[in-house]
Order: sequence, then structure tokens, then C-alpha cells
Amino acid sequence: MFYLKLAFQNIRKSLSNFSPFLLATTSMFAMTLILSNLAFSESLDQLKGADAVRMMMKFGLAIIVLFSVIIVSYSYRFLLKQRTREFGLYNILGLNKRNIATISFWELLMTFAATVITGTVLGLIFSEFLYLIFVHLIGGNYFNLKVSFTAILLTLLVFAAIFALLMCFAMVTIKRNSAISLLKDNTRSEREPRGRLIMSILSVLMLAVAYYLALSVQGPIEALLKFFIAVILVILGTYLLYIGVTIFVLKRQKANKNYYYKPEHFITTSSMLYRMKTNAVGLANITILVTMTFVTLATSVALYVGVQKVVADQYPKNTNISFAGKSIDENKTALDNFIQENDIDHTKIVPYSTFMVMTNLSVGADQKAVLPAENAKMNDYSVIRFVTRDDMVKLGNDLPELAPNQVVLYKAFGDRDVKSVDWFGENLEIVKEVPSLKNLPKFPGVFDVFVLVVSDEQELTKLNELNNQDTIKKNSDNPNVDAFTTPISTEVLIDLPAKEREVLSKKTTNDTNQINQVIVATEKESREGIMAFTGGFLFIGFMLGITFILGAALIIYYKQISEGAEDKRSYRILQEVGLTKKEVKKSIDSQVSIVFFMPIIVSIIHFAAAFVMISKLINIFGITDMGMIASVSGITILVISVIYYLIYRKTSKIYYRIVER
Amino acid sequence: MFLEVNHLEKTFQTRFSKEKTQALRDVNFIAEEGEFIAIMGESGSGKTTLLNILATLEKPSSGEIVLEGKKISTIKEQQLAEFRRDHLGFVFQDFNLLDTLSVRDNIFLPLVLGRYKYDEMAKRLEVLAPKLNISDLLDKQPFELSGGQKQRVAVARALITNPKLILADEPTAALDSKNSDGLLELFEQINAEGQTILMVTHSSLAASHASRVLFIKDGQIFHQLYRAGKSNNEFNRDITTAITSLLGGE
Repeated sequence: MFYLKLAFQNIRKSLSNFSPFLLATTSMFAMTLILSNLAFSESLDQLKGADAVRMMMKFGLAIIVLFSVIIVSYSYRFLLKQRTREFGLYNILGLNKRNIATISFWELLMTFAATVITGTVLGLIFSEFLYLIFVHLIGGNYFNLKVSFTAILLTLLVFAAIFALLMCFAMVTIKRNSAISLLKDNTRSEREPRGRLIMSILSVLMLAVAYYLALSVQGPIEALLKFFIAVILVILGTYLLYIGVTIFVLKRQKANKNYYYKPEHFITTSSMLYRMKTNAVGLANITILVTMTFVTLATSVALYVGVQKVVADQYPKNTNISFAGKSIDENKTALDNFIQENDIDHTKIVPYSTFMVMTNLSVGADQKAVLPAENAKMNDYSVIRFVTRDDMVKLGNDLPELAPNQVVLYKAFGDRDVKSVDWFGENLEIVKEVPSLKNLPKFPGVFDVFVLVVSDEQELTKLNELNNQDTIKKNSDNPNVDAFTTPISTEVLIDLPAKEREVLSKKTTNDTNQINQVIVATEKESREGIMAFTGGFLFIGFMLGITFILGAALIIYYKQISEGAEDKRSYRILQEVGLTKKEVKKSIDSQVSIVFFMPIIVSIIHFAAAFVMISKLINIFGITDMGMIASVSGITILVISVIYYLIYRKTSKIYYRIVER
Repeated sequence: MFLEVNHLEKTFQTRFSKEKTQALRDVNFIAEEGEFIAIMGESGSGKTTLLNILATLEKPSSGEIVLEGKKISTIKEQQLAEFRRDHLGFVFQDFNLLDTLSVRDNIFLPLVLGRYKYDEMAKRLEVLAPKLNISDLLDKQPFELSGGQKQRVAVARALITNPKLILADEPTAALDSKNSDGLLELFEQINAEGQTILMVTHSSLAASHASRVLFIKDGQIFHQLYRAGKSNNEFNRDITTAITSLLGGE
């Protein structure tokens, strides 16, 4: 009981030391609970794409749990460091190490209880609130979130494990230190760091390679493959940048006597050297967290915004109905029957026939695309889509007359130059390139999309057969070879009233082996389907963004406190040896602001280098509006920088309170 | 006349009460160049306030200080820092070395701020270091030094500007008796070379190394003793006697 009481008094008396730790544990607990509640609640089943959303939430949950471990233990270790002197005092006053560990145990248990109670209340309130936002984001209308007890139990277990880990830290710290060293620990100083040339070279190399990978990436698939390599290199490179390069540069400055022994440089260089030594890892952490926030937020916002346009491009009218049978004529008959059966106003209808092939397309130096392609590279994968001139003219496009073997090219996505196409021995001459084709749905693609307009339906059928013959030849040993061939489909774009749309959308044939396939796709359904994904992604992005910023804020806070205590003495000493109060303040201000601005500047540089790669990744979802991606990124950087600055301002006050006390 | 302190008064007003505390009342004394003066008093007697005002770290409520004919109280805030750097040297109880600097750079600090050339700094240190027995310590960091070593480094930093006046605030308080003796002998030695020293202390042993002792109580100087050729031991006895009879024991 005595230890329990002592522990309680400790927390109450040094609430200023405990409160950031409590804040960290409670907010991380609430975050974890929110995400697990969203991942496990049965209310989710009512949403479109519930499985995808659940998977995303679980993925987000895993990251949040990982960060909870990191942030909470970082915070607790700082608390332990602040309190070593107190522990030493207990030791000298006659408590043995076991007793001190007992006190720590009670302290942790009380913190845990407070965390669970406050965190659960906050977590449940906020998960209701955030669920509202989430449902709104994905365009659903089921706004009631049932609390999941699995989620509460899971969060409880995760945090029990984290606190058990903290207890281990406490025991190790108490065990390792003798009474005297416990007393001294607070004021321990370290040697000046060594040169760190190798670290610096490694850092520069890693960052250079990462930046090169990010900037030189050509296509989305390549971006996806190289993204993780670049991320790992940037993280390692950033740590080494702070631990190695900054120290190396400062040491070089110091070695230059004519530079170093000047009033402007002397104090700044020596103090920065000292600061960097104690804060390098903290600053690297801040940089990485801020960079991650940039990337996560910019990507998810760009995705959410961009995908609206992708869906709109896919649906010139609100419904697409497509028929895929053995021939164009069969398609047209099916179409007529469908119109009659369903009583659709046929005056509005303009059908067009098309087929689409996904293939390796290597374009030689002569700008001639040859099919089938040999020695194609990763980025050569392309989609080629054929339509007829007659259909396109009926859809409202102005196109020249075409002879057989003459085509008009429209590059729907990608910018490779092509002059002619060798289509399985058939030479197609590109007579004109148009910047767009009106009323033709645009399909999002990872790959380059070439639309080729051919003269008429006869030509279309011929080219389709050439491709199918090649497919059959390649898969001749497969008994089900017909399934691999690509049929010509005839499609209809139509604006339908909501009620009719709903009835028709159920008419899609689900059996893919059926000869006359009908697919009715509506813009609404497509939008909802894709929004469940991008909305979920945006939501996770925000949650992670908040967590990253919280982590960064905590590190900044602790940094300010520890530096404040160290700088306090320097303030007086520098005044004694002949600096005015103003000069001392100016000098310390400038050091503090260098340390503050460095992480955000490095983050912005990292992000700028990553921009090409990130926009290629966003391209995967068919979003090609670079202007939008750039402005979303710019706004993200601006907003985060402002938040970062506010955190700095707030924590600076604490710093100056310590220094001037 | 080297240093003249006339009618110095200092009143403190605490932030939370209207009550005023008079730390110094009508303090007057004169110091000649080359003197080694100890100011003795109990804690709370006002001796540290007096030193802080002489150091220009605090402003007096009234009265004036004249150093070599120049009124310190009229110097503007901006020039005060410069004045401290060029004319005063400080030795403090807790050494006040910067952890961020090596021993050598700690000593160079005032010279760097005064924009001296590196060669000049190095030349001065070359003369000073052996005298203070710190030649082997120059490349170490302050935390690697013992208390006595730290204090010798602090003395070096105070001396390197060739100040007119050394101000020492309880310089032996954090030292053991052996290191205290060493430091005081060092003070005697540099005093013998012509350096004026003003030291605040509550230890009669420390004061017995001075050439004159001023006694301060309740913010007033009420007595002084001259060494007048006595040995340290004899002088110490005199001081102790003075304290017991005048201050009512220590």
C-alpha cells in the first residue's frame, strides 16, 4: 500500500512530467480503438466494398499499433530519464531496487487504468464521429456504428502488452544503474563526436540512389516496384544524414580556425555540434514522420479527388450497356431485343463496336509498333483499342475518310510516339493523330492506352480475327482456348432515369461463358465501388497523418524540454563573458530555429524528389491530372508546415519558460 | 584611485509582496590597483549582491561605482557586455564552464567575442597555461575535469583578457581543502604580479589570503582588517577573532 501511495503522489506531484506520457498513451489508445472499431464493427457489412474497407482498416490498424509501440515507449523512456535522479534519491534514502521497481509498477498500472478509461471513452465517441465522416467520404448512407467488443478487447490486449514492455524498460533502467550513477545520470555529458566521414558518404550515396530511383521512374509498374526500395533508402539515408553529415560539416567548420574563432560562428558551431549529437536521432525521426505525413496525405487526397474525374470520364452518359457475342451483327440483334424487352427509348441510342487488347507493344526507333512484340520491356505493356470511323462520327467526332489499313490514332494515356503499327503482319498506317475522341468512355489504366480508329466494321472484324488467330495458335494445347479470345463488343451509352437504371443494372449476365454477354454498368455503381476504396484510403491517410504529426509533436516537445534545461546555464555564462542578454537570446534563437526548420526543409526536399514516383503511383488509378496532384501536394505541404510551426511555437514557450526561470 | 564605491544602495521588491528588502545600504569603499580584497559576510548579508553590481550584472538602486575614473553606472546596456568582456574577469563558485566547448575554447571564449586573432589567443594561452598548470587539460572537455581543475580553467578564462579587475564569488566553495589552498595560493601569486582581485567569501581561511578584508553585515560594510605583513595563519586568527566579536560568531 505504501508503494501504491508513493506512486500516486509521484504522478500527482510531477504531473508536468507525466502529462505528455499520459497524452501519448491515451491518444494512441483512442486511435487504435477507433481503427479497430471500424475494422471489426458489423455495421461495416452494410457498406459497398465492405471487405476492401475492412482490409484497409486492418492495414491501417497494424501501422497504428506499430506506431503506438514506438511513440509510447519513446515517451516513457524520456520520462524514465527525467526521473533517474529521483530514483537515485530513493535508493539513497533506503529503498532497494526492488522497492523502486514496485513504485514504477504501480505508476504504470495507474497510468494504464487512466489510459484505458479515458482512451475508451474518447475512442468510442470519436469512432462514432469519424465513422460519420468516413461514410460521408465513401458516399454511403448508413450512419450508425455498432460498437465492436472484439475491438475493445483487442485494443486492451495490445496496450497491456505495450505497458508490459514499458515495465521491462523500467526494470532494466533501475537495475543497470547504481545509486550514484542514478543521481548523476541527469547531468552526464558525452565526448564530442568523431568525424563520421563514412556515415556521411553512405548517407549521401543512399539519398542519391533513392532520389535517382524516384526521379528516373518511367511507368507506374516500375514505380510500384521501386517505391519500397526508395523508401527504405531514404529512411536509412535520413538517419545517417543527421547522425553523420551534420556532425561532419560542423566538425569541418570547427577545424577551420579562421572560420571557427569568430564571434558569429564560435558559439553557434560549438552549440550546434552539441545539439546535433544529442538530437540527431530525434530530428531524423521528426523528418521521417513529417515526410510520411506528406506522402500519405498528398497521395490519399489526390486519389480521392482524382478518382471522381476518372469515373466521370468512364461514363459520358450515366449508363454503359455492352453486348459481346460472336459478331457485330449478333451484338446488334441482341441490342435490339434488349431495347424492346426493356422498353428503352431507342431514339437516344448510338451504338458503337469495339475490341480491346492488352499486349506488349515495343516501339522501335522507327516509331513502328510491331505485334506480336519481342524483347518488350516492363513499361511497354499497353492497351490497344479499336473503334470504327463510322461509329465515332455518329458519336460526334470529326474524322477524315479512311481507306482500309489506314487508321487515326488517339493516345488516351501515355506519350510514346507511334507512326505505324504492324498488326500481326497487317501494316496499319497512322494518317492522323487526334487529341481526343468525344463520347468514347475513357478507361483508367496503368498502361499506355492507344485508341485506333479504323475505316469500318469489316476492317474491325478482320483485325479482331488476326488477333484471335494468334491467341489460338499460342494456346493451342489448352482445351478451353476459346475463352482466351477477345470478342468484339457493341456498346451503348445512355442517360437513364434512376429507377430504370436500377432495374437494368440487375440484367448483367454473370456467366462469363455465355455466348451473348450483356453488361450494364452505371456511373453510380462504379462511383460507389471505387469511392469505398479511395474514401477508405483517404480516411486511413488522415488517421495516419494525425498519428505521425502527434509523434513528431511529442518528439519536438521532449527535445525542447531537454534543450531548455541544458541551455539555461549557457544563458548566464555567456552574459558573464561579455554577451548582452539580447545577443545571447539571438544566438540561441537562431540555433533553435535551425534545428526546427531542418526537419521540415529536409522533408520537403524528400517529398519533392518523391513527387514523380508518387504521381506515377497515382496514375495506376487512372488519375493523370498532374496539375491536380501538384496542387494537392502543395496544399498538403503548406497545411502540415503551418501545423508544425504551431507545434513549434507552443513548445518554444515551454523552452523559454525553462531557460528564463 | 582605482575603484571607488560611493553610497551604493540596492532594494529588492519581491514579485508577490509589496514588502521591500534592502540588500545594500550606503556601501562605501575604495580599492587601490594591485590590492587583493576579500569581502566577508554571512549568507544573506548582501555580499553577493554587491559583487553582482560590481560585475554590472545587476543595477544599483542608487549610488555609483567608478573604475579608473569612469562611472560604471552611466554605461549603456549595450556597452556593458563589452565592458565586462574587456575589463572584468569572473571566477565563480560553480565554475560556469560551457559543456559545449573544449577547455581551450572555454578559455578563448571572451577573446573570440572580442574578435582577437587566433594567433594572439594562442600566444596568450601559451604564457598562461603553464602558470595555472593546465597545459595538459586544454584538449579535454569540461566534464572530464575535477573540481580543482575546472576552477583553474575558470581562472584562466578570467585572466586571458588581462582584465583590470578579477571578481571572484565564493571561488573555493565547491572545492576540497587541498584544491582550495591551491587556488588561493594561485590568487596570491597573480596578485603579486599586479592583478587586482576582489573576492567574496564566507570562509575566514579563504579571506586570510587577501591583503585586506572588508566585513559586511545587513547590507553595510562595518569593519575592515589589513594584513599588514602578517602571515596567513596570523591573519586568519585576526579575522576569526573579528568575526566572533563583531558578528557574534559564525
